[in-house]
Amino acid sequence: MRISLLFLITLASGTAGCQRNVEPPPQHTADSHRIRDLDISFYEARVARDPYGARDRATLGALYLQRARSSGSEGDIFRAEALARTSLHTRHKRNGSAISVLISSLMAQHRFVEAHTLAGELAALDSTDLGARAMLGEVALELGRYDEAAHVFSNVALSRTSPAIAPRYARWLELTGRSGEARLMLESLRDTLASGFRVPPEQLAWLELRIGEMAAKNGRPGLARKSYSRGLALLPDDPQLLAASARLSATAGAWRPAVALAERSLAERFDPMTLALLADGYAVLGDTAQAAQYAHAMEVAVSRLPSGFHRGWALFLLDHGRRVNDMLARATADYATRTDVYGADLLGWALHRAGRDRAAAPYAISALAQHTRDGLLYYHAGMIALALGDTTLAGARLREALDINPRFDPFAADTARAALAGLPGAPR
Amino acid sequence: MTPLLLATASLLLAPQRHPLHTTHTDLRQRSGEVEIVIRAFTDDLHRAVAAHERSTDDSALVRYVRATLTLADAAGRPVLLTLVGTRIDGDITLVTLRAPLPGGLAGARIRQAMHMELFDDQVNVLRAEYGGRQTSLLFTPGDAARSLP
Repeated sequence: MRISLLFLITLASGTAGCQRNVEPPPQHTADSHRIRDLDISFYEARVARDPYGARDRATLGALYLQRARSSGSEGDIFRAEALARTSLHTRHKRNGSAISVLISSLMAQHRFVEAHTLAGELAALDSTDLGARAMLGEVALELGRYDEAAHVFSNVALSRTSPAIAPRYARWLELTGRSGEARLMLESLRDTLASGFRVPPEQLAWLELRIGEMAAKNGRPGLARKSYSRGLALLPDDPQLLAASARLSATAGAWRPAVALAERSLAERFDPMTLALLADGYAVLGDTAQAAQYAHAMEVAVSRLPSGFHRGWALFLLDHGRRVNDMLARATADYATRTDVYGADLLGWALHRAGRDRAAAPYAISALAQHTRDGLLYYHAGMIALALGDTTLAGARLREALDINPRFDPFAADTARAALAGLPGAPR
Repeated sequence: MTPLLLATASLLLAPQRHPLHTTHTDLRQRSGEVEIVIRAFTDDLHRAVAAHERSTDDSALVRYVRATLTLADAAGRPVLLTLVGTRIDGDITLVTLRAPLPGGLAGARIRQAMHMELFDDQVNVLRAEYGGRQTSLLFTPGDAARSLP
């Protein structure tokens, strides 16, 4: 039996809220968290009573993953993985739910190769399950297997607006240079869900975050601000929305509100990217002691990454000349399995920062191969070309970066403008 | 049953999670005393208290917290932290304490070193609210006590 995807989203989120409005009062967040925790207690008790309950274990694993999103707990992710594995051990056949939980927990740990194998198995279990195929496409994107992703997503194109597929399909569009189309797709999904029944605010807020991020990346700060505000109306203390709003303020040069928003985000959830933003913010505001404190804390926090490598953290450290060789080694190792555009970009940039521009050039080309509309990718490619003395290519790349978004980064956009002004033939 | 849209869980989660070792401590001045709320991952806290005290009851918890979270008034006199209670919220434990501090938080010296004996990548975030201002301090392994402005 095929169950309504919307119903399943609600079910998976474990909420019983009945708000239809796009902007429910914040109390609903607390309610949905409380209900989720009650659900966890309920399923923990069932799992404790029944050593063979495969479905209960998959459901409990999904709830742990959901909680991990808001708390950032690695323990919940490991618990979800263990439950999914036990569930599959108990019942291997017709247990797609457990495989989905296992894939999600592996992706959360950046174990994409294992996730890809399982996603292939899941898609093969039921050829009519388009959500499973989209999940396979999602993992393929993370690994940089764009041909495979294109094949998968073109096969689900007719159902691309369904809630299980649209966010993944939009990610594919975004990475392959069609971010406007991707944003419209997510806006449409948001509007559909907002008028739906029992759609948890977390789902809508997440869509607002993604829509805002795409708008911000494409030089539409007003639209991004609006999306973030709508998201924050749903979840006023959501750390990701607060951090995104802080980044948007920073790119506009509004560092005081950026710092205030980032501090609020940090109070809700610890994220080294927020520490990095605060380090930059305090430095711009002239508080060098605070800036140094945050930069050091960020460096300490990411010094051990047994199950993950965050490219944003690496870029911050590279841009600040910290642990360049370490980041280069990690980027190289990362690229051994993940040859996606951002992996290529990071490796190219790490090589550039290590003074190895000739080695960096091919990665800069790979980073632009999917025509992803991200000013930072073009900026990195432009600066590498400039270091190699190819002023024509550098000019083209840097102009493209600024065309995509004149404020693609709080600092790099100004550096790009200055570099362009210094090129031969530039207007004086 | 259809794969339960657990799929959605990965979408909302995918490239975000990394093992991070952190606690968050809020200090609020309330007339002549300070209220302290520590948020810590239950797993980490349990492990830390058990290693430090060989037990994990409230007495052991408060001994551990007093050993790792230190507060002194502006004159340098140590302030005794009293446990008000604990509450588990999901996989996070909230520990609430109170401390007499008639002189207020301005100039007080504080060090938050919880879990640093376990993890050398531990970062403890501390936020203090007093006298109409908010300030943040970050503590990493090896940090000494610092004064609030």
